[in-house]
Amino acid sequence: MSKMAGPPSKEKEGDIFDVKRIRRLVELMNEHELAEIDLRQADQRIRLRKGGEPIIEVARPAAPAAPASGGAAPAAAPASDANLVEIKSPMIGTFYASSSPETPPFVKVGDHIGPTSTVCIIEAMKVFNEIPAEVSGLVVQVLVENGAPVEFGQPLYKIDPNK
Amino acid sequence: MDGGQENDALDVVRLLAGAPLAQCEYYPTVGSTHDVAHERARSADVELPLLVVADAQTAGRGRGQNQWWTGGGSLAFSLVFDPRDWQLAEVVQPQRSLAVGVAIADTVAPLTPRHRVGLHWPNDVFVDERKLGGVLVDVLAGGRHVIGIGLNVNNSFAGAPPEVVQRAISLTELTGRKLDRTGVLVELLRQLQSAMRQSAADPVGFGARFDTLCLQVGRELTIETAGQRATGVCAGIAPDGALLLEVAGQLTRHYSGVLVHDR
Repeated sequence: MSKMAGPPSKEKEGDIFDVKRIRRLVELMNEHELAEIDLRQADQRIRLRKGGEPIIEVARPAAPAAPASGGAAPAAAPASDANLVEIKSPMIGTFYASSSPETPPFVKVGDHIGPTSTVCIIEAMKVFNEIPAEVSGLVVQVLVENGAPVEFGQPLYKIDPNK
Repeated sequence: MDGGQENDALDVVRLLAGAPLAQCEYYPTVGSTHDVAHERARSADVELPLLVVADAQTAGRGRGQNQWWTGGGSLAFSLVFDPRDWQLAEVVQPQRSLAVGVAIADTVAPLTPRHRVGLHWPNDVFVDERKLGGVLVDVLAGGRHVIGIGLNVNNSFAGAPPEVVQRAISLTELTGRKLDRTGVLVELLRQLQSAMRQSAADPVGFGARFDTLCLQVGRELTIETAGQRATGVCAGIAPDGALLLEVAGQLTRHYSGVLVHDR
């Protein structure tokens, strides 16, 4: 079975669930500390999320303070998307997770941030803009890869403000 | 201010009297004015606008890994200001980056009337295909701006690496005379404040100047953004600061990235 990254045809719909492909996606998630991968092409979709939460997005009332699961990886903790807030890009530009290639990212999944914490830099027209969180909480998910182009209003991080 | 340099030494008293500044830090030699300015900008207890200026930098910063060549007699400085100090909106306005280039061009053009001074997107200042000045703008999370500028004034590129000699020029080389660096710096800081205010008051009208100053119209440019390259013919600069490239008959707008090819 070919692993070429061409557009999948309906006849080969089974390819999308190829175990090797999914394994590679899981490796990528671990490599980049992603809590979720959501790929869509035409009407096909692969969505992987760590932590065993249901994939279907249903708005739920805020859960009462649940006891910590204890020992779970921070990435595995999203309660429900309904409780999370997004930090969005205030401009079109290029997303940088750290201040230079040699330094660690400003924030990673599992970090606690405050409103003035710098979460990333977005470069536009050679202006390097530090982006403040403007919310407090726990970083649940990093939605953009280092060096990727971002649009105005594009979600960059998911934050759990109750943690 | 030692005797050997009296005609070229920066006069901090004149700077503070003539330019829109609250403070000035002068260093005969410093690693990088930009690094010092960043440190000051992160302190709550600092009076702004603050100018950090040096006669020589041992680790002058350009974009990314680039180094800025600071020969004796050039101007290298970083300005820290809060947009509110100049009655500017706090919202992030990337076109301020181009406004800095306009301010430099407006400072330099009257000194070099026989030459066309203009911009290479977004804000490098060029004269006769040679770079006269470069800009770095950082906006901190709290909104403070750190603007680093390197401008070739009284320096000569004799003795510089050949790739620098072919690509750079100074005001003294253009005019055949030595300039008053303090005077140039005072005027540049005034122009900077004026450009920022005009850009905020009339973004479209002021933004039209980007296109007028663009020196790359009609040239084939390649811009690299996030590892992707786009090549097209430069159709100017939009009032919002976007580089306009005609790629395969389509006009495309570019807000981010590095020009990796220009001919």
